[in-house]
Amino acid sequence: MKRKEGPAPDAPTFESMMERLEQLVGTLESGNLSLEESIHSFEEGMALVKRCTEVLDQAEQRIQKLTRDAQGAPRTEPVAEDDEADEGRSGELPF
Amino acid sequence: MAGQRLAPKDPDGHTQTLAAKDRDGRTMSARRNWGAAARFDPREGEPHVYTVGEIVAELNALLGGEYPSITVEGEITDFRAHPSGHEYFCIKDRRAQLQVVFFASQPRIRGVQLKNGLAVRVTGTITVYEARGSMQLKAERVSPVGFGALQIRFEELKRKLQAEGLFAVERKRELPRYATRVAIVTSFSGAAIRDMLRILRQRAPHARITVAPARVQGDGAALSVAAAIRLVNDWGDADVLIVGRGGGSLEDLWAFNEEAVVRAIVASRIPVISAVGHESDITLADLAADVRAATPTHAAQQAAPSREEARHKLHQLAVHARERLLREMQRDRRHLDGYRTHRAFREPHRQVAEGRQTLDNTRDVLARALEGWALRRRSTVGSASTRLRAHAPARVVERMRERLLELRRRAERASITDLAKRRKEAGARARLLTSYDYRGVLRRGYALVWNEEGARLVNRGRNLRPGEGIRVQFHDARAEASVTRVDPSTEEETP
Repeated sequence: MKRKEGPAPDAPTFESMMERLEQLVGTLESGNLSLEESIHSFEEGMALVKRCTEVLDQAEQRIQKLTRDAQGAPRTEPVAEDDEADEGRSGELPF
Repeated sequence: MAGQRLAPKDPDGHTQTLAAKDRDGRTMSARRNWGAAARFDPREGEPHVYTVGEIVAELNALLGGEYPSITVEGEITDFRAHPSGHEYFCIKDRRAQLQVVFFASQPRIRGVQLKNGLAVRVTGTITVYEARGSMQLKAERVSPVGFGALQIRFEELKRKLQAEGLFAVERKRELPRYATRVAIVTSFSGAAIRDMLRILRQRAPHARITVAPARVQGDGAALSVAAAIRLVNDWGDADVLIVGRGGGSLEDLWAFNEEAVVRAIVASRIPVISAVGHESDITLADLAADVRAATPTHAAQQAAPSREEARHKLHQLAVHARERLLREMQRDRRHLDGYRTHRAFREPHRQVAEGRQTLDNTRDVLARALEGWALRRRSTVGSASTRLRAHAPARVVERMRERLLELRRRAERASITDLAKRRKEAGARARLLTSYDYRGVLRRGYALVWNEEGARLVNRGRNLRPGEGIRVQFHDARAEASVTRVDPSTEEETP
């Protein structure tokens, strides 16, 4: 499984980052934080906003095919966008 | 075709030929010996005349004996359900039809509703209904075939899985709201995958789509789909999983009614959107999925938020976070402002006022004392002057007057000094009170930073130099520290 621009496999997902962000805003909202905690929450939140924005800015749709290798382990291989987009020529996707 | 072999003969002694057609319309011929002694007319040459009842009864016995239990397949037509529970209908194929009577006393298959058009297999005996003289199949069992059979399997499996709670609403998970990793189990030929990829490319080009190909119709389709669902789960790198295919006949969609697929969907750790066929097709996979999409296109729309939606949400959260923090800081500032106008700060004024009052008293007392002193002096001086007038020069009086003035000035100076002193004291007391009251604020996370001597508050970090000593005042302790590094704040740069 090789992706050129993808995040590291164990990097937090967009979903988990957004959830954390909502959580941070929620705790900021509760007003129960000390000033220090508020500032930390805010800074962590802003870092997440930045990273989430980077994810969204990724313009290229990435498509991959998932199969099992000879040992039965999941294996992905990228599918080129151009091939996929070539609808007229072939009735089948080039998986 | 078991049964006694009879050799019917007509009165001319010819063997009768019975012709019948099987369901494909081929003619079956059989020569039969109808020779039943009881029915043989003793009068030679005379044709035997049956009563209607006789012949019908004979045929009944004959057919019953010849076809004690047969199974006939055909499509139901002219269906009539009688209030008594008996059901009457015909089964037909392209060439012929046969009347069927299905008495209420016969067991029914659960969930099977007989109706016109349903293909069935009817097992029973062929009889002649004597009152009408018509041949009919007296059914003991009627079971659907083909589509009907699928329908029954569907109903049976649905009941079974429902009883296990697999379709329960409580089982349904919410879809992730910010999915960017979309997995799809479907065939990679056909329109469904194209539609989904197109929609996802338009809406969420940032999303990463992973297709686990599966056979979605024909032999082994259910197992293939189930295996692909398990594969995606084994792999696990997805927020949401779409399982489906495009439209087709009920038989085409059948894999999605199989137990293997339902169980794989139920076992999926990744929330599943089902997207099988069209809006009107509801499969067991749809019932088991967390969310049922009417079509694959619809599934793609539900799988991931559009980039614009996600951007908007992100922006909202950022704005919200900043507002909250600002409000938080403003609240703390108001807290401080509160203290500023609080007793601690009002105290000095009061003290000054009090001091001023004391001072005024003092001044009055002094003034009175001075006045008395001056008066006394004056009277003394007066008497002295009268006494001395003869021998003392006027300058002595003059000197005395000057001393008096001097004394007055000193008294006034003294009172001014007193005022300043009191004012200073009041200030010190106010500062003490203030610092005491600040502790509440310090407890919230503020610390005061003093310079090395503890004389001046450091309120601009930029002016600090590495190596410089500072004193940090917490609500519960003071610490002496030295600056190791100074990084100018980047607060303004955050979005």
